[in-house]
Amino acid sequence: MIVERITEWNDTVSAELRQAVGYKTVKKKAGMKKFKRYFPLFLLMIPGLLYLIVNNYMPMFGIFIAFKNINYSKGLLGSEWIGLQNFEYLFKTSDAFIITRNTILYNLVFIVLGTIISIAIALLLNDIRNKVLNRFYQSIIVLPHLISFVIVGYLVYALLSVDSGLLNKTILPMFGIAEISWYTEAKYWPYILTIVHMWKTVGLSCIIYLASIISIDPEYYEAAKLDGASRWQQIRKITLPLITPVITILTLLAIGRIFYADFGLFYQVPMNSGAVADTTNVIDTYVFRALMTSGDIGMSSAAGIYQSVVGFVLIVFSNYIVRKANKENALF
Amino acid sequence: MKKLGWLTALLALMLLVSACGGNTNKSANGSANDGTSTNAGKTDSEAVSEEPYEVVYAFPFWGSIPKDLQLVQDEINKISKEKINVTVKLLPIDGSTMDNQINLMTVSNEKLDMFLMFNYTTQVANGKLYPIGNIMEQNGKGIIDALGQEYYNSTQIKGVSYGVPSIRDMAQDYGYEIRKDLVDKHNIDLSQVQTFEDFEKIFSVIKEKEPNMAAINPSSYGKIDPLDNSLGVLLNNGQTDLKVVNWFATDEYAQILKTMRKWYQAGYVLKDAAQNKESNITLIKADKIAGATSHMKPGFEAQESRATGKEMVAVRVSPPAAKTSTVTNVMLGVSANAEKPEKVVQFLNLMYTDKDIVNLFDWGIEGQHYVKVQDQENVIKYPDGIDINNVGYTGASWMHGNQLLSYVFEGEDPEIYKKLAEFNQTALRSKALGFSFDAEPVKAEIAASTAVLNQYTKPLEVGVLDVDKVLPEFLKKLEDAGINKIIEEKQKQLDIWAKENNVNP
Amino acid sequence: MELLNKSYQWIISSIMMAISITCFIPFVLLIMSSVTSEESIIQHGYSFFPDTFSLKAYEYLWNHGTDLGRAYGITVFVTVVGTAVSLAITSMLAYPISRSDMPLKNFWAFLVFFTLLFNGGFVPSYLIYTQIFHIKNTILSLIVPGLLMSGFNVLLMRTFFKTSIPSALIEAASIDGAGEIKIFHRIVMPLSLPILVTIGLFQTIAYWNDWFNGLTYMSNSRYFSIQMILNKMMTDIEFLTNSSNLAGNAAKEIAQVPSTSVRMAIAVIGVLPILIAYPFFQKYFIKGITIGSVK
Repeated sequence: MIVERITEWNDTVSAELRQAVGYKTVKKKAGMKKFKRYFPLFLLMIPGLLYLIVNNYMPMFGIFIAFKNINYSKGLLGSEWIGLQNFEYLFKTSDAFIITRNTILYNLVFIVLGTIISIAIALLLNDIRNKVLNRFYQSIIVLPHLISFVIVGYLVYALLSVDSGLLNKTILPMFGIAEISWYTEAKYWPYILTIVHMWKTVGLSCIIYLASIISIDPEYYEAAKLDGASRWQQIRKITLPLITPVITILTLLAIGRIFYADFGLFYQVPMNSGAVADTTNVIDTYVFRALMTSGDIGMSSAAGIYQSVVGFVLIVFSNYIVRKANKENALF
Repeated sequence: MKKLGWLTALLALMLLVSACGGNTNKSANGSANDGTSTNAGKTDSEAVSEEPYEVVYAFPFWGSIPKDLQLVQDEINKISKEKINVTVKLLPIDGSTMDNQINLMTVSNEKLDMFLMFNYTTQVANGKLYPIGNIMEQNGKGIIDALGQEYYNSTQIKGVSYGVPSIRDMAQDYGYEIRKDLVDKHNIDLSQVQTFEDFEKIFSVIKEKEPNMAAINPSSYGKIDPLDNSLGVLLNNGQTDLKVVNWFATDEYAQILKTMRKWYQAGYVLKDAAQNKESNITLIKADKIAGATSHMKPGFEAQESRATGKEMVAVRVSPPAAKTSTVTNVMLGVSANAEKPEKVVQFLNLMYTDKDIVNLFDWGIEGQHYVKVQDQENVIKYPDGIDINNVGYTGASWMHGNQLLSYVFEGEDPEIYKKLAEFNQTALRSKALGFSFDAEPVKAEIAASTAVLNQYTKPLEVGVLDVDKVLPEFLKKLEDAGINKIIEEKQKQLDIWAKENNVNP
Repeated sequence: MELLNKSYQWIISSIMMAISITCFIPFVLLIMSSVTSEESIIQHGYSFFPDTFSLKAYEYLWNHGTDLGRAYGITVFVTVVGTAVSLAITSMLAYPISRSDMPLKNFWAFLVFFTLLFNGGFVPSYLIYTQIFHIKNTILSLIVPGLLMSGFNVLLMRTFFKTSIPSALIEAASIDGAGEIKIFHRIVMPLSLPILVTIGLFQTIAYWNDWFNGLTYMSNSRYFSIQMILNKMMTDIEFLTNSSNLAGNAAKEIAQVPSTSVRMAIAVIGVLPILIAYPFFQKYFIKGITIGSVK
């Protein structure tokens, strides 16, 4: 039992050691044996890999749609190639800079703030001893995620409407502030969108962190307590380092999607108000507004590829940095 | 042993999944076969040698699918099988995903013969439609007669027609509808309103006398022929010349915006008009607005009165004018994948000429979904014990072919369709009626400009933005997006079209 | 110490309470607007204290009960089956690539990760699922496309396995003669309850909230789920009020689309079941902790 504990401790603390052990065992065994040993693991992977092939890799042939002028009577394959023409509209607009800036800045803010707030809440939840309350809080913070963005748009409108909004009719007058036309003032939207995004997503990501905090062996904390470590020290020296891999992976994945924006958030919540586009126009809303009438699938998949390529470049770069710092935490 | 257990479990799971798929598929095929075989049985007895051709007809629906759809379909088939040996399969598709579904069905070669659309030129450009113009004379003569040569010709793209408009209002006017009780109560003289600016005379009274109500929920106004997409238009409803101009840069447009801005600031306009997601009907019902501006047609007042439950009157400030876009905005077309396009056009022909078929589409089965009002040939009502909420079938008469053959519901003007026909006959014609713009050469510019329009026009046109500040910005962005290139291209195509069709500028 | 602990509990609990209230209040507004009369909503906007109380929206739903009942059934079936299968294949893929001694582990991880960035769009997916697998208009079309396994979940689970399952434990079991599959099944899975529950929750929500598959693969609205019905109402009203070209004609169609309060009521009944089911998840969550600590 005690031996087990020690090896376990070794394990989590020193990744290198663990890898060394793994390495040795692999090296010792010859090809056939190795195959025999890992064969069951491959078997386990089969259903998942099959699904990836069917659901993700096979449809990827569709990427060529972005380089074609799709004519349905000629079929997808028979339509003519038009090179990069489908990409042109993405750069035709003088708003290209604003759109790119908005998309990336919002995502950066969401990544940083989202991570901090989620971890903070997860830490709080982890400390609440009253089981009933704990469960109650956990349920409630996930609630916003269950409401679709269209409905969220309605609810935000209930707050901000010029005519009947709660803020303009009840709350602002209490402080003697004149009513504000929220849907035409671009300067408020960075705050509004950030708040709505946090409100909607923090619950779920906090559950991820909570799951990994819960899985930390309590004995670490007990040992630390014996040494007289304060709660704050425990968090800094035990909790945070141990959930770093999870933080890293979530951040890396978010960076890969930095050029995507949540369409619902940026379109439904400002209720498609063109007047605030300076701060709400992101790449997804631009593409939607541009293609809304024509519904051109070539042009929309061109936008998708553009987003993917940018994400890909960014993530390979950040993965490289993570890899340099700690090989185990890297994505691949 | 344990390993084996897992493996079998996994295998079983996969088998189960594939079996489920296979089964449902088979049963679907099976029932389809059953269907055709019973059909075949019937035809035998009627001594028709050929197997009837099944036309799959997709059209949008909103709300829920009528529960008696199948019954109505069977009734239609009885007639169509006898007349042209064709049966129809009605395929209502959720209105908001219609485009998508049609794309997917076409690209995957699913059976689809005919569909209704609101974006004719795009569908033609995407190659989703069969050029029915080539087979119309033999199979769809009745359609051309019902439409009239002029309206039929206005569906032609490069000389060939790819679809036909449903017969409804082919032209549009513009006006303001208002609750009659308010007009009476405050002695508003509607006849003093002649122009757009004159609306103010009504609005100021409403504002003063009904402080809890907005006078108007605005909709876009402009006496123009939008030439498909409003990016490059003809002024004066296309009556004057064939010069394509940038509508948004005209003084006329600026003036309209300034008027709207003035009205917005004066408190005439629904404050949240730019964010509003409710229909005018709902807003009027709830006493939120006194009236609204919109495009109109004969019988508009009666229709709105019925929908709002309050008597409505209207005053029009723009004469009805027919443009390519008002004709082609609801079109029926034959899918490029249709196996026997002639048969499909023959069925379409029935939808424009056969009164029984039209009324089955529009109102359902006589005696079950409606009964005729005594002594009146064309007027109907619900049977006893049935009302709008529990009737088993409702159809949209403005979609399915020739509305002029449709019965009139009790309470509406019995002469309504005569008036509608006259409206279509006498409406002004834009000089460019029949011209369709081929967007292909300037696709990128159109996409970029459309994005700008979608961003700016709504808030500007309801008056929530400062015109002096925002309009120049809007125009600048349109220029950056390439509107001038679109206008140039459009002018070029229009000139060629005018020469070919002998239209004098 | 004890006192400090108590006041600490009070402080964090009140912070959490404040957060919970901000999360819950909008939901209250949702419920209140579903029992406010349509006229009142439009006249005065949404309110926590509606001046006219009306159950009309729920009456309407009750009258359309058969549709909704079926929709509920479909939603629940799809969610339960989808989540179960999804958890199985996700963990089965994530575990091998989490092993630091797994041959080609980075290649596998990259294979999974790549799917998160690039996709061919829904037209090719549609072609593959309908032409090769023929799942159009079957219940499978609500379960399989896009949702069954997400690369995100696989990578998340892999990180969890990497950090929380001591490889010494696996080594030990291996030396004791346990096969890989037995190790996965008997040791790894029980130790991973917290992450299984988390991913399970994500999948449940994903299935519960999905409407895209239905709108793409179901041409027959008989098989619509709750979220599809709600989404359809929202898009219908948006489409009808925005197409000014149809304005003259579509009055009858507009009248058929349910009112705002009905839309709110559907949103409410769409969320409630998950709220009710959630504590069951948490039971396992708590269980996960206890098992984790006695390892």
